[in-house]
Amino acid sequence: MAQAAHGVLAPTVHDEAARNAFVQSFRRHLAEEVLPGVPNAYRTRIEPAFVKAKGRAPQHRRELRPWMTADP
Amino acid sequence: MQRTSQELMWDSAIDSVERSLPDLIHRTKFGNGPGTLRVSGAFEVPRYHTAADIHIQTGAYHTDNCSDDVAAGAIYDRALHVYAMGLLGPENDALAQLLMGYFAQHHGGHVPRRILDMGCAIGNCTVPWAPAFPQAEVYGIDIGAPYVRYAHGRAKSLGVPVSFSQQNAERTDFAEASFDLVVSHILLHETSHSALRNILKESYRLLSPGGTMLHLDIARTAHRPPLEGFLLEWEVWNNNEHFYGSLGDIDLEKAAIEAGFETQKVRLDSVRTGADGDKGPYGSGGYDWPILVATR
Ligand SMILES: C[S@@+](CC[C@H](N)C(=O)[O-])C[C@H]1O[C@@H](n2cnc3c(N)ncnc32)[C@H](O)[C@@H]1O
Repeated sequence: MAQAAHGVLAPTVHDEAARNAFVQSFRRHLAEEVLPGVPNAYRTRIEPAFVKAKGRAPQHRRELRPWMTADP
Repeated sequence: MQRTSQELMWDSAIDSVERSLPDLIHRTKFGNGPGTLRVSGAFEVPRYHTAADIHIQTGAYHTDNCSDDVAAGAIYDRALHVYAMGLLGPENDALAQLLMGYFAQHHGGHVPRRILDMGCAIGNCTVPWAPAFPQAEVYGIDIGAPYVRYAHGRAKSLGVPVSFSQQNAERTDFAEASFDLVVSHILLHETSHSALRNILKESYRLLSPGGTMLHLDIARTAHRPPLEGFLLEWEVWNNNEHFYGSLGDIDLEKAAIEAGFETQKVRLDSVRTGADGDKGPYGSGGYDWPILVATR
């Protein structure tokens, strides 16, 4: 969906508009195709590894953070 | 990748704004249209904003790099649209549409006469309240001078009367009981523990008896459909948004009661996208945005 023009919206030249459109669709791709894989990675890899190492399920998002960021 | 896309997003917006900045300043300043602007010469930006560049937007919201600077606002307008993948609608106002729909549904009998939007940025969510309540005076405040200047220019060009001013929502210069509706759209997560409490106290002070506050923010839920998940992960991965994680841990109802509201007049509600008042494809997922609601 294109942005509505108004009197003070910064005008874009062709390259900038193209770059905006690219970043926008790249983000949509991340949102729709890549990020939904995160819960799956969590269930199949991260939580089992955490439980194995600590003998319990993770309780707070903060203790999870190093585990999440270590996973590709 | 997410962070890269965030940086790319700013880059692509910054170039177009840099090139046309003098012209944009001229147009925001001298453009014809309704509404007013008040920017304070000696404004103290709260520490939770100067300590880091929120959103990795260099200089964040509040920096003036030249006189009458509007760059941060102009960049935000372009970048927000890219950031939200266009899902906030062509006017970047889907969250206001959502909140107005909620208000109509739950407080439909009440016609507000003075409306305040706290943390209004470029007024993208302030502007739609004015045509929805044509008899009301609409005000927007933000700590960022370049933001409210741009907001004023933008609203003028759209022909919508709004009074913008540079103010800290923790303590404004508006008179006690001078508003019957106080709203915010994704402001709270950008504050701090003490600022959140001050903002709720200030909302209470500003409301006349029977007046309502509605603070809409981002959910922290286990169920994460794409857009919400996206917004959420971004906030978390972009570690410059420090307070975001903590907001989910705070008991907002309790905070509102401590700010002065009566227990039975406070509720943490939510509004579901796809409901009345929502726009377009953004609603298709159907998920909940929390709203802290209280009536004085
Ligand atoms: C994420 S933006 C939301 C902007 C807009 N409401 C929207 O829906 O797009 C949050 C805004 O709150 C402003 N803000 C943060 N703390 C504030 C405070 N204490 N008083 C006023 N504005 C504040 C920031 O400058 C920023 O523009």
